[in-house]
Amino acid sequence: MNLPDEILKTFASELQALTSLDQVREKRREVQARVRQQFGGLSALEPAEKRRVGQQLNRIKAEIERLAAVRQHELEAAQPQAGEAFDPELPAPPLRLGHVHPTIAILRRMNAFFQSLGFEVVDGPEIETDHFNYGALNIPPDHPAREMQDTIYLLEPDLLLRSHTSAVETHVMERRKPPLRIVAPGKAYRNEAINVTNNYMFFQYEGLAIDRHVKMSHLHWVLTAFLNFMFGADCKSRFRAKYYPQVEPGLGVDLACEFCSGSGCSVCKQKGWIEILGAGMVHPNVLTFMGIDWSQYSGFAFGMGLDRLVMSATGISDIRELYGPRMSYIPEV
Amino acid sequence: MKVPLSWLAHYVSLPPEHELLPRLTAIGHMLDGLVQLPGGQHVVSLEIRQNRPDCLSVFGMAREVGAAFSSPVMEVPLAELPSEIHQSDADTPDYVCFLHIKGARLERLSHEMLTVLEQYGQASVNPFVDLSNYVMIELGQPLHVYAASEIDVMSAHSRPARRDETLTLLNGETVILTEQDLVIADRTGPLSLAGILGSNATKVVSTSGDIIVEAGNFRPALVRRTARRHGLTTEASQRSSKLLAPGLVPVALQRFLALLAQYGAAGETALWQAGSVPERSSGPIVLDHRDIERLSGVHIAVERARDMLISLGFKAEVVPGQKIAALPPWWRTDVAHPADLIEEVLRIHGYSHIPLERLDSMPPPSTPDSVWEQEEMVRNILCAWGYDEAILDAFLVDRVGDFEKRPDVVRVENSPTGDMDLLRPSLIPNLLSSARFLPFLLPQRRLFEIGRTFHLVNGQPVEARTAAWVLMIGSRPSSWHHRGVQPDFYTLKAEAEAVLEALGIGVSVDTSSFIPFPFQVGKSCCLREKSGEIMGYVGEVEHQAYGATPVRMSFAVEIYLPPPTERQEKRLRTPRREADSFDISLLVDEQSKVPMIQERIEQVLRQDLITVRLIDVYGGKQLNAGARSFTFRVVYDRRRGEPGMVWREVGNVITHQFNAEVRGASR
Repeated sequence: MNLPDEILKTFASELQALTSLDQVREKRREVQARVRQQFGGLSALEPAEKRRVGQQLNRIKAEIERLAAVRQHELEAAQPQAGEAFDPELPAPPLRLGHVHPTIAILRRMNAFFQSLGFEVVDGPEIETDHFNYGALNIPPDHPAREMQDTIYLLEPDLLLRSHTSAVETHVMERRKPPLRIVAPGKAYRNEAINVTNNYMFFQYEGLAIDRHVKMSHLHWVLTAFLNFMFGADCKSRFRAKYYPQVEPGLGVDLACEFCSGSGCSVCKQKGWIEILGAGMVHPNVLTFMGIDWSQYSGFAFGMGLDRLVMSATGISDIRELYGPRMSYIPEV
Repeated sequence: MKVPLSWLAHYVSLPPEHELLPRLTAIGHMLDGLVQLPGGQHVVSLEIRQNRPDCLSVFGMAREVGAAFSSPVMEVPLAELPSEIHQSDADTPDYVCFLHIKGARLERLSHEMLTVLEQYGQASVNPFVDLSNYVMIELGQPLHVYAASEIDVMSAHSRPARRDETLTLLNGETVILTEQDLVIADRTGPLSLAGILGSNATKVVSTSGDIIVEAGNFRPALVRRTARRHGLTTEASQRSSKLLAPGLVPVALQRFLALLAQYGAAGETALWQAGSVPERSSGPIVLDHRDIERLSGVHIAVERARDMLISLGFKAEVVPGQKIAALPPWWRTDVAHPADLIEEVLRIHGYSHIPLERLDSMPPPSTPDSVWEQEEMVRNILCAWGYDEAILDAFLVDRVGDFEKRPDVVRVENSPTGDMDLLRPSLIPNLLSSARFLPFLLPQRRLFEIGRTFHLVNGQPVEARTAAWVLMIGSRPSSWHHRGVQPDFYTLKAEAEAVLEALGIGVSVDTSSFIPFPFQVGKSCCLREKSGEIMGYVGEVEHQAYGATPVRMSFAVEIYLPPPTERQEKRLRTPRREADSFDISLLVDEQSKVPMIQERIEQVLRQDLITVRLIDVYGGKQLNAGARSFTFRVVYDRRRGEPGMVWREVGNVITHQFNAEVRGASR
């Protein structure tokens, strides 16, 4: 038996006498140092002999590591533990997976739908200027929404918390040229009385498509497909004229009340319909403001609040709970 | 807007309700409610579009019904106003007319008029006032009647109120005015809140005598703000706070005069005017007929489109080039652009008749804005680690800590709640606040949020996309299974580093930086990118300050999400490499820090380095005082060379730079 083999054999026998992990580590270091000394003598050997001895030393080095690891594992397993008897029927300690917020769960579904149609999901600032939040969207200086009672100002009148995610559209239109297809989900803020149905903070979902030959008929198709995706193929919707400053023509989209099937009940306030979103063709003033030629390009935009959707999906009746601490107990949508 | 259908039927033939109401909804006047009165009469409540104040009137709705059903609309009889107009010297940007009627007499309105007013919900006050209300609801122009003896009509005009002027209103309330309020005043002082409500001192009480009827076209925003400031929402303010047509002012006075003559008596009249008629663009709007199809996808013949506009009161004609020249009617203040004409045509055509046309798919652009994807990645990692997502207030909920005094916090000018005005500079406080609402605490509770934090930088408010997570350890015992290792600072530090690594960011620890509350000084640290930029904080946090009593110990991480970069995208796309590894143990003095050694190893191996991790620390008796042994596991691209060779390469550099002793090598 040559020296390297002897080192290995001695190490294997000494290991069994060691009783702590630290002892094993120290012994391993000591023995590996001895092996390294053997490497130092290789330079004096003939090439063929050098290769043979070098391979032997490498093998022994790896075997020392393996033996040390096995002994370490044995020592770890031998440490005293509660419930020593092996009982596979005992419950495993829970390895819990977290849940996303229900609003995010809804957002994921919506994003997946619009991304399948080539829409990008974009983001924009929550601190906005009057220009991006109002001016560029054809909302004139005296529009009621601009007033302090509706807008939360950081510095009136120039700096505010965005009151709608339409402001993201103006950022995108300013820095990019058509064709554009974007959706912009996010928080918006309004200075509203806080109660069961209103909160100062809410989630909106905005969409925009601009290109040559974009028409209301496309908008109808996209929104109808979206409603069928979200509410089922048999959902009943209607499109009606409505005013929004940033679109012309503008339209409101209603869904037949799911509780009364359109016959009228307290949920839909006897209307039979629940307003679900607003939409329309991008106003020529908005396009012109962004340097887009209305005679060549057209576009549609749509926007909706998410909170009602989420509340309906989760069975929450108080909007304040949606963005409060108790939400982590509400099951995932 | 409430519309008694019997009143509406005065002007236009009505179809059955099941046809009328859906059609009105479709063209933009959504049915908001339907009330059946004891006599079987119906009053409908319609949601009128903000830009259509002309429809805040029964006659305005009659015009819409006429256009929607191609029915003729009966005109309302008007009387002549005096041809001479006395111009007030007062300088006002509003347009106000005062009709002085001497010897007016009106015992009561006709039974029919009183009935429809009652159906509308308007209580009877005085015959002259009832008549002015009737005209307001019929035509949409608010009128106000004064006892002529109580005002000096020659000096009457609209103006901003003066500070601390007072006015006792018709509802008995006395209001203290500000310079932001708009009033009708004469030389003696304010007479009424313009476009909102009259005053007690000038009201008419008799059924005969001299009266002055005021009609004004005021700046809508001023009326709206005045009404809001004093908490007054009146029939008049709802109309005057919108962009009414100036032409309504004389028409409403003519109508008042005609009805007074019909049901009572009017003597000599005189007309006073303050301000001038607001100018509006004259001339027709030219619409290229092809734009209707270009924007809607539906073909409507040019003559048909023209006829629709005519039915709405436009003067429209087809001109060469398949264009329509259309002059909006005087009562429409919402039409200024060819797109407005397209909307008029389409809503009468019916949006439900616009076909569905598939939108061709378009691939996303090559440089996607991947903020959403980045946040989703972080979200998925944290959920996999057992964290639940919360979305909490953008304001600091609890006034805890030193936030009030910090110079970099952002305040809003008008808090929605009054007490919350600090925008959150950190996500952690609200996450900790939420802990006290936890009805139970598992052995561990994990919450995270991805949202904006707000800071003042150089005096300017800025926002940062931020992710934060807290791990709260309860005071209850954990499960029967005690072998699990309790998480500690290093657990959270590892999580922070892993998330940042996924974002393409390598960080080092900085223990000398300011540690913001609620992180605990001495138990937390700052994480910096190599450039020195602060990427976040990790450590133990002060949950006690938030009343989180079930919590025994809590740790948190807050990191600022970088803009998605090419680097991150490339990193995510990097294919798996063939790797090799070795362990290297270094005996170093106490001056040598782990991050310094790791950084040096990174510099040696550069792009070939995959990971370098500290796997063992030894400071036992066998070492000299102050010395420590660190063992690193280095994973690298095996194309760099055999482990022994790379180990020597690294060892030589480290030995030289840190005066270290390489204690061993292994694979």
